[in-house]
Amino acid sequence: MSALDYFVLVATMVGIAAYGMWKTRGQTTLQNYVRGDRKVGWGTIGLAVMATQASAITFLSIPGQGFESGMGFVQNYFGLPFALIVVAAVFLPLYRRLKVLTAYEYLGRRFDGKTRLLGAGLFLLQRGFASGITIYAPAIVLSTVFGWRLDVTILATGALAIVYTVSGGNAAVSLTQKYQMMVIFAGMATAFVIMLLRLPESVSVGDALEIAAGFDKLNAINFSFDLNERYTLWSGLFAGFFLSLSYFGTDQSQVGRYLSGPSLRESRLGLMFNAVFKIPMQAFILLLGVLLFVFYQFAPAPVFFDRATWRQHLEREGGDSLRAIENRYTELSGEKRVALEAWLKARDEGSAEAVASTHAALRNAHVRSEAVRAEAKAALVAVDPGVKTKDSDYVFITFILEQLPVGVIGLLIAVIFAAALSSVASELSALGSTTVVDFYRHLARPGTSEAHAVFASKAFTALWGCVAISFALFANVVENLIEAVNILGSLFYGVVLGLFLVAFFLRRVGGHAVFTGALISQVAVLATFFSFDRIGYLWYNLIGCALCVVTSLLLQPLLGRRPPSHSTPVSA
Amino acid sequence: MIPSVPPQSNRPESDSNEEVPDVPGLRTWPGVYLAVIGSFIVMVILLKLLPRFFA
Repeated sequence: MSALDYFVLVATMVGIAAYGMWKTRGQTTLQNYVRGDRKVGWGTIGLAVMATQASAITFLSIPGQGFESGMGFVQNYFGLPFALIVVAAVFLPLYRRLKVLTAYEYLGRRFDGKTRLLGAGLFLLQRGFASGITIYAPAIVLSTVFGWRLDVTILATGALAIVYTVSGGNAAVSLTQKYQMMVIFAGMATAFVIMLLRLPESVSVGDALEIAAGFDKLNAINFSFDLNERYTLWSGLFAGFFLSLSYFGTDQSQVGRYLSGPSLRESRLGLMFNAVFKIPMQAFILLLGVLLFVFYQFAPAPVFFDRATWRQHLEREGGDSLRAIENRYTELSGEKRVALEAWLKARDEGSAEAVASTHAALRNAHVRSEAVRAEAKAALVAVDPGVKTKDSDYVFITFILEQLPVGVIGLLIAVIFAAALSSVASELSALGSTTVVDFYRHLARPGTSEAHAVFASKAFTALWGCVAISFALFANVVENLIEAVNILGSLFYGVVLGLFLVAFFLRRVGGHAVFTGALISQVAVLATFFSFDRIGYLWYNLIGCALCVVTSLLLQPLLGRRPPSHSTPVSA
Repeated sequence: MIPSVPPQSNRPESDSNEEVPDVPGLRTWPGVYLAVIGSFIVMVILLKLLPRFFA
């Protein structure tokens, strides 16, 4: 990167963080620190909710998913609009009516203290781990590509998030997220336009999409009922619904975002903004990946996109075999390009027979070049068994570094950091506030002053930041970053959602039954996950939730109902 | 352009379920939810047709 790129990167990141700290300085009550000053409108809430979900992983991994597998991943988000409608119609009015600071506080009011602690504990456990991956994901890619030290990159990202989150609390997180999302939109749109301009002059946008369709990259919808298929319309709609309902309805990093609104209307519209625009945004990022695939049909593509790792191994023993594979791939890429041009020419001439035969030749060349890519990965593992062979996370960053002009590279790296910071800050804020509201103030220091509670919130936020950094420093066992976060969430979210659904809709079930049912369900989910690897991970949301609801209902007659400790109606 | 702090946000805190959405053309919350579902269905249809447009 040039000095201008570094300037753009540092100025954008530090400028937004400093502005957020300055605008939100002097929080004096826990209410303000945890919920913000409740002056933000639906636009800010909508962007904050979107920014919390869209981490750096989104902008590194998803174009790579589009590049490798096409548009199918978008189905993962199909349950989201329906889940957000349920959150807006059912969850949100209850949270606001009871004026809770965290979602788990509601469980305490509906059931009892231990159920509240279980819900909060499961959240801290999975979100604590996930925040480490959120920091690690961009750090590993950027440190590999730029040769930065991984530990320094992780520390710098984590420290910046800690500083402004601790300083301004929830209000600073929401405010900075708005500007971070603007940087992200500007950067992604710029990358998209430049990529289209970099295509050969004879290839229009329509041609590029036809080429993508010719490689089946535009197939977004899969109606298969096969449970082993990872992304189908049904898994996205049903299992994705439960994942989204749990994430948006019970994960404090999201609940904190929409509870910062001044009214029910602003919070609801912020959620509906996401219900409408989230799927188009994900489809756009996947399409960017698909068009990257088309771009690399004309431009020289590396046999392995993690070039730094590839180069390191070229120099080692066994490097000659890698070089031979690389040369073979370059040759095959040339053949594929010729086949592609022949297909485009046949298509322009309108001969159906020629189109079919050239397309078959193109598919054949593609299969052979993909086989060489697989061979390259196998050869890498042969010379270094510990190497990570999934290189799709490096596709977009390779394009950024090799194709974008000076200054724009800095903007795109700022996009990745902005996305990382916006997610990490939400997570740290939620982890800190949950620890104070549901554990520290609830158990250890019930009568503590507002000033002390704010101080404790800041201290716990900083502590969780250090925990996240520590996890990030040891996260190199994870192969696919975006899936790791989703799998981790899916294992815990289902049971937490089950707790909330019982709370909202099964008024006759009491604390003992739901607490025991949730524990049994969580153990069963983890046991199933480690015993059967053929179930798509999204289904664990549904399994965990259903198990929790059913076991709670079955246990209720045995364990009896414990009446709630208050008189406020807290069910939907 | 998304309004950062719309005029409505200056009014006092309100949590009434009766609060209208105040969205042009949509006067009730069920109407807003139906519009959201409608936009989802349009998106799915477009995604399904995408490969056919360029086949």
